[in-house]
Amino acid sequence: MAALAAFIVLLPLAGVVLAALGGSGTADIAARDLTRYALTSAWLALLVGCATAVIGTLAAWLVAMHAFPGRSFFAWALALPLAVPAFAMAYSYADLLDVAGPLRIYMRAELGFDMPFSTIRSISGAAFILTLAFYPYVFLAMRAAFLNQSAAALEAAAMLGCNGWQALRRVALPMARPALAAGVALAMMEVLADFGAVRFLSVQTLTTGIVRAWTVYGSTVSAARFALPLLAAAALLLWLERSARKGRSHDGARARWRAIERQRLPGWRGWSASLFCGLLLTAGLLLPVGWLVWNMFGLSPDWARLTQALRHSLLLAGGGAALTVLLATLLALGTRRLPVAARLASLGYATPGAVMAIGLLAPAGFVWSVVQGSGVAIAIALLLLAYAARLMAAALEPIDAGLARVSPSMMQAARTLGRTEVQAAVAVDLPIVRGTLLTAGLIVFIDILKELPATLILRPFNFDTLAVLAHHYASDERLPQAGPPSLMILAVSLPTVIWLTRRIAQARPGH
Amino acid sequence: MDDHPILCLRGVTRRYGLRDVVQQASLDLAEGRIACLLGPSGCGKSTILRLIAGLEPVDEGEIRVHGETVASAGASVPPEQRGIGLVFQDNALFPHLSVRDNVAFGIRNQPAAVRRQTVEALLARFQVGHLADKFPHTLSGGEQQRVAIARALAREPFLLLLDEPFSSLDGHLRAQVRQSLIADLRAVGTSVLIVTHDPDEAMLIADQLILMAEGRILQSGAPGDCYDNPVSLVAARLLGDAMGIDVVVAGGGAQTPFGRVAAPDLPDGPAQLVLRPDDLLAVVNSIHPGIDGQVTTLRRVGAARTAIVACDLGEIAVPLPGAPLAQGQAVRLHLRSGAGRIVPLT
Repeated sequence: MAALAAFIVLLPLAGVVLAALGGSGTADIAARDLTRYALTSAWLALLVGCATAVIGTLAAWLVAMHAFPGRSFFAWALALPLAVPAFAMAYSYADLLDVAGPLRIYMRAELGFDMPFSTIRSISGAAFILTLAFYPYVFLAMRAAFLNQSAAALEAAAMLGCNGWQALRRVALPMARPALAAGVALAMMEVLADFGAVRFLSVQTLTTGIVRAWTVYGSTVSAARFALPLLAAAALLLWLERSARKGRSHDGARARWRAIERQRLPGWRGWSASLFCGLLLTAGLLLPVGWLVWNMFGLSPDWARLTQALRHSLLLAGGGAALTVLLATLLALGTRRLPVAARLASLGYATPGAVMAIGLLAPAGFVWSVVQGSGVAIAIALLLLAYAARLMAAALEPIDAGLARVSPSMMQAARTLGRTEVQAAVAVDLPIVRGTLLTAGLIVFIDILKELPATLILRPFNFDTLAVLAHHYASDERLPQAGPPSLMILAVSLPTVIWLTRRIAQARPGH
Repeated sequence: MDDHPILCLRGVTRRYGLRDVVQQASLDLAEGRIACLLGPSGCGKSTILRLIAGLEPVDEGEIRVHGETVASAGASVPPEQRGIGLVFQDNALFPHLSVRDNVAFGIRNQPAAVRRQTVEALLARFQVGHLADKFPHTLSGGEQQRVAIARALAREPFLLLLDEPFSSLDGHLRAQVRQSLIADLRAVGTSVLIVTHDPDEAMLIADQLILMAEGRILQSGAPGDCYDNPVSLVAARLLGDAMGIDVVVAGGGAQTPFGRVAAPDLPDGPAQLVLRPDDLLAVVNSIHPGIDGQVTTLRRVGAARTAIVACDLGEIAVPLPGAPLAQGQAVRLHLRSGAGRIVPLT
């Protein structure tokens, strides 16, 4: 079972490598282009990695360890940009900050100055937008890490003469370093995987290269060549994230955990903390989403197309979530015997969707040649497979966390009480992880809603999802039209993300 | 020992990598009795329990239940088919099941009515009937343990294994819980094997004591017999303070500082005289052979009085039953008649 799940993840990865090595059609993509695209990807990932590290850590430190106006709201609200697809944020900001856009016309005319850049369609513009889209990964990881720290360590630091800032730098931050590395690695994986935003901002990364090689040149080989460095980078980030996680495991082993007494930030310091969090939330959620909503007024959207795309999106997200959770559950139950499988699954998570899709093209071609007719069903099945391969690890995480509550002695107890190994898993493991399956499913669900490149490559002809629809409108420079599908994604994912973050926020050590 | 042991181990060895955690272990358990496996932590006693339960494979030797082999190198009856109950040190109750459902877990194949009856009876027997609908995390440690024992007994195992059952309880509570639990287990009448590292506990509970150190079983027998007739200094020390004096056996006895002590079963050669503190007697103005020394300290704990005597063997604590001694007084240490055992060197 676990082997099957691992196979599903490995299939597309093997497909990419084979495709890249296989063909000899080198004419269409020059090595120089490949290098340029790769450098852009690396540079962008580095910029966003640094920016998210600073912003996410600062925000987490504020809400986890301090008391200031609005803290309990920001504690979960700052994770909400996770619900906004990065491409929607890019559409909104590009429009909002355009030289000829209403905001800057107003600024020039009324305030007499302009912003110090002509266009946001640049690497730094992309870095700005992707930072806003992905800082929640760092924020969530660091908030959890800070909350997990026992007050004792910080009190000891205080007794040894550290003020609040020094305690952060010398104690809290070093203790949370594994979480920081993990959060930043996740954010950078997302940057490498992003297609919609960078494509729209005309920043040529490896992911846009893959999609272009496939859609424009129709060349699997060159697409796979773009995919190879991405795959290597993904593996590197994954290794970073995993080794960081190893360090995290022993701070749970402390003898006594005591909740940190939040330090009150008085007067202007408290208000500037609120201001910082408020600005972050405005920039990451309110402003871009508000602008999309504003643009919708006076627009007559193509409702028929929209509702059909919504149906497709829900179908894919629902089916994908179900399949992924099913496979992840099998994998989680099986990996206690076969830990390698879990590691392979996480490689899938690090792998951009575009790479997954390219990797599935070769097996897909084989399936097409064998089974003719009923093409839509097969294409959708392949798409679901790509989702499952990519998101298996995301689903695996909460399920594994649930399984951690099952001690080895519980399984052994079930054995001595007359159950076989499989029966014991069904009677003990499954009921205990049941609660986490919903969490896992929802995480996968919203990820699929926002997914663009794999869907774009593998979907059946004319099978539009909300994300694909938004992408098409945006590519045709019909930006206001791209608003409604983006907002529909948001309408589904926002409540889900709220529920998830509040649920995570309630979890504390010892519970 | 019974002619028909319910469980025997013969030359059982278990290796982790190159290390033999259990080495050539052999033992017999008799029906309806409480046996204690005593040894320091890390000596392999928990591993023996897991080997018996079937949770680990045997690398050498074999385990027989009612004369039938259940485990040998390369062959093993799975734990669910062995009919042995195991109570884990952490109790391992299922957090998602109520107390009632935990206890019923192992007997789901029985008709509902029988099942309900069994569960109610066991819960009542172990005084946790009022907790039937509660969930494990709301129970105290002692209550969880009673539920875990009831759960293991529901399948009517022919043998119940308990891994350090009292180690998580402390002080006077421990003695109390232990006493009532052992009484309940005796009333049920199941054969029990308890692993413990506490010699007093083992002496108190056991019908049969099994002494273990460094992966080997040293001695097995009635607790009093193990205490009085240790097979070695190590075995003696597992059950309390003991001191060894090197002697040489010749012709069925050995000359010791206290005179000749019989050793009828030992071959000639070097051996050890094992002494318990209460084997010695401090006497003033003695003419009998013994070791001369001086009282350095007098101690009194409750009713028991002890003199610390400095002599050639070091500082020895000697119990003082009668005659009062003064600090600094010269005494001679005697061996009580019949005390002291000559054992082979180990």
